Amino acid sequence: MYIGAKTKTGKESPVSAQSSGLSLSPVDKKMLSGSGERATHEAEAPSSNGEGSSSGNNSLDEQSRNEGRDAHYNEPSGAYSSTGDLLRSSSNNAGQGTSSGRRSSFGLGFLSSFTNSIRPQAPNVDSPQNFMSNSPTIANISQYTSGNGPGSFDILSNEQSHPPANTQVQSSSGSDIDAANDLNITRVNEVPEEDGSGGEGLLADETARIQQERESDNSNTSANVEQQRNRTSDSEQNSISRGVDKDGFFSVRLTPVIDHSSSTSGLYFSPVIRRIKPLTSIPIGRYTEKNKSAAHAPQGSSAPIVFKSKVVSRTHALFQCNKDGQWFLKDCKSSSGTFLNHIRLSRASEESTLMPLMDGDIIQLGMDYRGGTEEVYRCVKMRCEFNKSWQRKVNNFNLEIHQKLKSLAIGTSTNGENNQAIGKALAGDGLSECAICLMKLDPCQALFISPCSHCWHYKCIRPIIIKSYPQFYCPNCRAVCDLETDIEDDD
Amino acid sequence: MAALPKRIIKETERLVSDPVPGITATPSEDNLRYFHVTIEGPSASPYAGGLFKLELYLPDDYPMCAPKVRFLTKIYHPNIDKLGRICLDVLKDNWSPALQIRTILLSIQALLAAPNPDDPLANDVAEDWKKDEQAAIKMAQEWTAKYASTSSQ
Repeated sequence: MYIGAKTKTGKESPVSAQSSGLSLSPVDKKMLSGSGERATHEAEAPSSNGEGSSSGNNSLDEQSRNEGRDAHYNEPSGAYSSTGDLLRSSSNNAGQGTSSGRRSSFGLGFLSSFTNSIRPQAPNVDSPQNFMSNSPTIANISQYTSGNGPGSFDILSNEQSHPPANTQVQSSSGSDIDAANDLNITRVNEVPEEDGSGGEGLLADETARIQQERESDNSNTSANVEQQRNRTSDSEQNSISRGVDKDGFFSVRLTPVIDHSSSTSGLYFSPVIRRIKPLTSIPIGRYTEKNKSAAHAPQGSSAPIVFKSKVVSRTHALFQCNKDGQWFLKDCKSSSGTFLNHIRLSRASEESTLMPLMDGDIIQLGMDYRGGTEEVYRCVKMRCEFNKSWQRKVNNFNLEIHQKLKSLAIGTSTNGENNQAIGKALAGDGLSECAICLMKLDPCQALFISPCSHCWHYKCIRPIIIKSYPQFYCPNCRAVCDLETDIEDDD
Repeated sequence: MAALPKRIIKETERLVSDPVPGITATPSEDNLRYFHVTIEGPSASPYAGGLFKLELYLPDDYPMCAPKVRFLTKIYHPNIDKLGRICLDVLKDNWSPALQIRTILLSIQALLAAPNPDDPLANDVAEDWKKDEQAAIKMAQEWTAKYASTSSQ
């Protein structure tokens, strides 16, 4: 299947971190190509607020900070309440917190700062001292998180107000986890090779361990985590019980995350549906001459998932599915990173652990390069749905409502029972076929009903709606309607 | 060339399975957007007994814009010029995507039955028509016999 350059510039802008008007400075090429340049970046005297700096470092930090804000603001509304999230992020956090204590690398410090600001439940946060001290962006974050006081962050719990003095304690607890986490990484990395009966056992084991670790770390918020974990396992069981299709395949659908209100836009692609057998995996990577056929593979095939973006590595990441239909994501040493719900899975060119996925998770491949002004330098942001969850939504309600729409057409076009037959005929014309594409109007299709009661597929009528909006000139009856007419109840 | 839209396929099928009386439209073999059309002259008009050939082309953005239709057979009509171009509102500003090849051809057939010299395309014909309608109708009949008679084709 072809993932093409269909984006209308500036219009289709996937949800992006920098919605608050802060523009992301272009990601340094060096950063995309690897982490070898770290030392020089860190040695650079930073500009006052990190904006406009050409360092990949700072732009990255900036992004993380913005992500932090957005996520942070979303938190109370529950937008981030996906239950798997917390566990994942926390396990992530455990690994990253320790990593950043170990090496003064960039990719991870900012993540902990991010989780710090949005995940109050996570106790093993790194304090500002663990970050690169010469990075103004980081400094801003610490100011932001600790300096602004509880007033502006009252939605965050006690963790928010932890003073930097906690550093020692936390980094020491971090190094304990470090060892444990390394163990986990090794074990999980073995899974794909084993690819057999033991594989999913290890995966489950891994998940359980992550959760346990989380719990033990979080003595003060353990109840909270327990709750989260229970919810996770509940929902996992639900999805597992109905996920498999008749051929014994599990499926994933990827849809682009689009936000027209944002100034930058991720790569647009047509939704991708892939199916794989349990205990197999499916690679995600850049479109190349070699995998051309994958770009045109039919929906529901097991072909690799490819994107026409240069910030996506050739072998960027992979999806894996265990025998219960639980899907996992792994970064396969990508150079520009794989992000799961805004959290980077591993440093450049390092493999990540397998991360369990849930419906609605947002995966980002790479970061916008050169501001993402060119289509091929845009990151890929996609929302995942698993095991045909998107099709389960077809239910009796949809069918009933569609039937009611039809009978509504009958009701308006007839005066009595005698005219029922005529009414049905009219309804047949009026609500069975779209006059523009000549296809049937069926349940679960997006429809548009005009004030003159004609009905089309929304997709078909949309060009006509937008051409003269808010005036609408009905192609069927030539009635002129005002789509901005006030909506009032007749009392 | 891009794949043929389903709408065009559907319309073509329906033109074959449920033809309009007096009108035929068959797609060209090498271009499914190009149709060979024939319209019989309406019986109560000067064009009765004639069989008029037309060509019809569906542009890329059809059905969002009108099909292009042109008479290939010479015809003496105030709204059809020497080149066969047709002055018909639904082919221009009043096109609607809810219209189809079928409805457009019916409109053209109706135009043959009801020439409108007040909104002319062929000015000379329209003037003749307004000056002496009987003579113009006779001329139209002659042209029909000369160029559009079924026996001569």
